[in-house]
Amino acid sequence: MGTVVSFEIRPGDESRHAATAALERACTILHAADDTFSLYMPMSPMSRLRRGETSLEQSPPEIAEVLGYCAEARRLSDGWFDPWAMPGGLDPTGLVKGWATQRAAQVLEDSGMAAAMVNGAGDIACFGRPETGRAWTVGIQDPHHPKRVLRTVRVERAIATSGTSQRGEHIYDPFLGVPGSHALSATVTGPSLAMADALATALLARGATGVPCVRALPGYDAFVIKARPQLQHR
Amino acid sequence: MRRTPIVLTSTVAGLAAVLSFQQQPRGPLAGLAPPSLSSTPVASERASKSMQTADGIAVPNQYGVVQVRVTMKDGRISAVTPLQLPQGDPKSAQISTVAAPALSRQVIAAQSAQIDGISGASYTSAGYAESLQAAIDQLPAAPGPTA
Repeated sequence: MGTVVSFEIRPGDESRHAATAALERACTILHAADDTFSLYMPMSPMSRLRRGETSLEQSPPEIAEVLGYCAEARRLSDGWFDPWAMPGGLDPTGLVKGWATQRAAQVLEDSGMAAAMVNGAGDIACFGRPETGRAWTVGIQDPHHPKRVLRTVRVERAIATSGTSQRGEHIYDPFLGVPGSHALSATVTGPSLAMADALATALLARGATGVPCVRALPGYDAFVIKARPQLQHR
Repeated sequence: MRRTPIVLTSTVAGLAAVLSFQQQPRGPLAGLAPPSLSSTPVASERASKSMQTADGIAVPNQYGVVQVRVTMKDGRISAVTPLQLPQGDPKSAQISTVAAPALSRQVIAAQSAQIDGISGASYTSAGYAESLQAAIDQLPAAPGPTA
């Protein structure tokens, strides 16, 4: 199962050749992350590690790096993000997409590009400004109506939203040990997209009571969209 | 320049699209439906050349009946006017007084803002074509800071 990553770039003074080369490097990073971490590919390094066929030391170093971030996210989310508590075994998917998208954006920034926004299927990393005097503006999808925007958010570095609308109930409650969710959609902004992605996953399971936990982290903000009360039709 | 959607699957490799660096102003987000007011169908519609209004059906809930009228001008929402709001008790009336203008402002802001990307529940390759991000990716890009 794949997804689509969209790039919006402002090369600035960077040459067309340099911008294109940076985009190609960013794409290479995304494909490499998919090859390493995909749980849909039974022979990917992550799938093999998960089955116990390889050790962490035998795996690509990116896996240890990602699991390090996962451990930090588990701690910062009071255990609500827990790749080690998933029913099918170790599953860092809730952080990997954000991590890979952030790395792709970092490559563009390091190349000297003036500004860019990289959208990894709803998890967004950005830098610079889309135009003078305006910040990158992101619409938050209405979980009830995926074609509609509920509100807009100005973003400096990263925004991630976890929701139940498009892939069904894919959120796992690490404390109850069952699929579950206390919100329809959870959004986190902050300096790191890897962390924002994991925290949004945690917040979707935890619900609005987890918002202060995210806001306590320097540079991070969060909100959740709760289930809408049932309308009573006559 | 143009937005460049890259399909990331285990079978597709490489840069999927070619960059072009044309600079042109970007219009309003044509594919963007009005934000959700309620899930109710439109009961009546009156059209003029550039101004349109549509009334939602009256939706009763435990606090009273809610009905709004949406005014579109040149394809964008220009006003959200409550036709009926809960007034049954002083508390509901007070909330309605505050909530109606706030709702209207929020809807108009979300409609008229220039949106660079959409954050939401993640989509698969198959779902991308139906996503709002896909609609945005098809728009020509706005001029950059050094344009």
